[in-house]
Amino acid sequence: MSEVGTRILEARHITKRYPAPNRRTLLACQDVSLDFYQGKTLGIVGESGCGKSTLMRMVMSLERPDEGRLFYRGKDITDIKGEELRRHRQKIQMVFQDPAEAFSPKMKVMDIICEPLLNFKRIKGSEREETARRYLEMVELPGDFARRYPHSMSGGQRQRVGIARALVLEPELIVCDEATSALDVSVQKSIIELLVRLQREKGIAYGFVCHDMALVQSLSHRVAVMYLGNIVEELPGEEVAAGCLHPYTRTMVEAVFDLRMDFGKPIEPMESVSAGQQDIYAGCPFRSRCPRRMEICESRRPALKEVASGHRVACHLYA
Amino acid sequence: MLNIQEMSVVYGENPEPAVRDFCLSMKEGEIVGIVGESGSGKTTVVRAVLGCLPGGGFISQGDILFEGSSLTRLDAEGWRSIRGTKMSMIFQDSGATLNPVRKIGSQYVEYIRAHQNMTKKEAWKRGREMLERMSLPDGEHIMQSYAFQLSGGMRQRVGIAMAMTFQPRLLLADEPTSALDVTTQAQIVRQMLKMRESYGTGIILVTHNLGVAAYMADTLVVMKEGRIVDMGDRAQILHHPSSAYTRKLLDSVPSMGGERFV
Repeated sequence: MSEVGTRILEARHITKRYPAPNRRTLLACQDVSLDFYQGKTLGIVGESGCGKSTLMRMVMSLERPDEGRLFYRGKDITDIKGEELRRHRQKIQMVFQDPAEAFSPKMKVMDIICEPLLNFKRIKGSEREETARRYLEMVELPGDFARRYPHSMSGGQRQRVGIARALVLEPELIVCDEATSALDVSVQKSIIELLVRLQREKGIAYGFVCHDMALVQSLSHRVAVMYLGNIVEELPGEEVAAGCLHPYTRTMVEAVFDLRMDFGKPIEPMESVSAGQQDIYAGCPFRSRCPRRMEICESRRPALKEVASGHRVACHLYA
Repeated sequence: MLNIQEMSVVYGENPEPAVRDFCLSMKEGEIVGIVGESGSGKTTVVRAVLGCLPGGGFISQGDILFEGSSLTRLDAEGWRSIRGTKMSMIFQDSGATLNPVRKIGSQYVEYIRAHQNMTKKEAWKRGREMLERMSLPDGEHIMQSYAFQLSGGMRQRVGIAMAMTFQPRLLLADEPTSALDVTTQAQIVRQMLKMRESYGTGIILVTHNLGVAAYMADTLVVMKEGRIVDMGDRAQILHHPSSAYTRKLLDSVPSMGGERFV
């Protein structure tokens, strides 16, 4: 792989199953392998129910994979628990989708920002306001916001507080789960610019989960596309628009409405299936919707294969 | 067909109007896209047109003319003859507008029979046909289902099917694709354009997604803080916006292979 840099977190052959009604099994993640590098953003994109959030919950050690291992800087963290897990949580933090729901409405902004620090006894209670001010300025908010409550702030301001809270423990990896999806486009842009600036200054790795293909490819060094629990393609962000190969990625790219598109282009009809529910099966997960399916797709699941440097595709067309 | 004249909308005691001096003139079969960020008043505009402003909202100034007659002075009986037949609406999540404890079919039949004299059997058949025209594979099966048994995209198609039953002159769509996945969104957009083609229905599309609005609309209206800041056809708004706000908005939309942050 062309990537240079320190590997922060490795996921190897992660599989997660949930029981579904009628004795079926829901495969939320199937044999997923991913790497997070220092100072780089890994974008994870897919439709609802594709398993992207489940994957991130395992990266955060909020869920345990049924199969596969997770390594943090080479150390196996799949089964850690208790105090060791609590200590480990300092290294990976999260920014949530809805900044209005992510905070206790009864806590002041300075208490929200400093709670993680107090949990790990890194600062004294009397240092709260001063610390909160410093981090508020880092996320481009006035220091006076420290004494405010979250309800008196706009969505974009609250999301900045969410980022400040994720930053205080100086984590090496921040998982952003649809962190900008609830915001207006102009606010979204300013939040992205902030995240990118912080990454440059601090060398943080991001896992950016999002359903907006256009946004993900614009801010990610690498993009992984998920479909029904499988990674179907992984490629550098700048190659997504022109160089993606998997039929599903192509479908996603073509479904983007952006302002530089050809407005006369007709929309191709496509069957929609309800995503999520699936049994363990043998063939390609995308076969029922694929415009280019072949016989082999019914019987064999394509493996992720490297087709070019840093570009992996799971499709029989490129096997 | 629709003519909104210097309309202002006020909520309750608040002296500050939520929408101010809104003017719009719409022809048959035209698609108007209203875009803006949250709180810009775009939903208030379509709600005012349908005469269902929430929470003590009322039109404080101006007039709305629909096929030549004023909507602001309509009584309940007058609205009954327009809503659902000449003018209908689809919402962000049509599933939430359906009764969760009744099957789609029973609600659909009730809706049809509320507007037209018809036997239950005929209404059922009409509903099933509309669903099938909406590229829903098995109309009978959908009629027998509850809303929660359908996916978001299917529920949205049911919503559009119901709204289009009486081939309205005007369809009001408030964020019809915002809760959907991108591939489903594309299919719903396709469906709405097909409806316009087959029935000549005019559509007011309210959305925060500038890409969808630009693809669908003949006329784009950009709103900010209750006012129109820009209005014109697609090429004019995208390439020669008159206001700085529109430029900023356009500049913020991520595009495939466009500006990169890293």
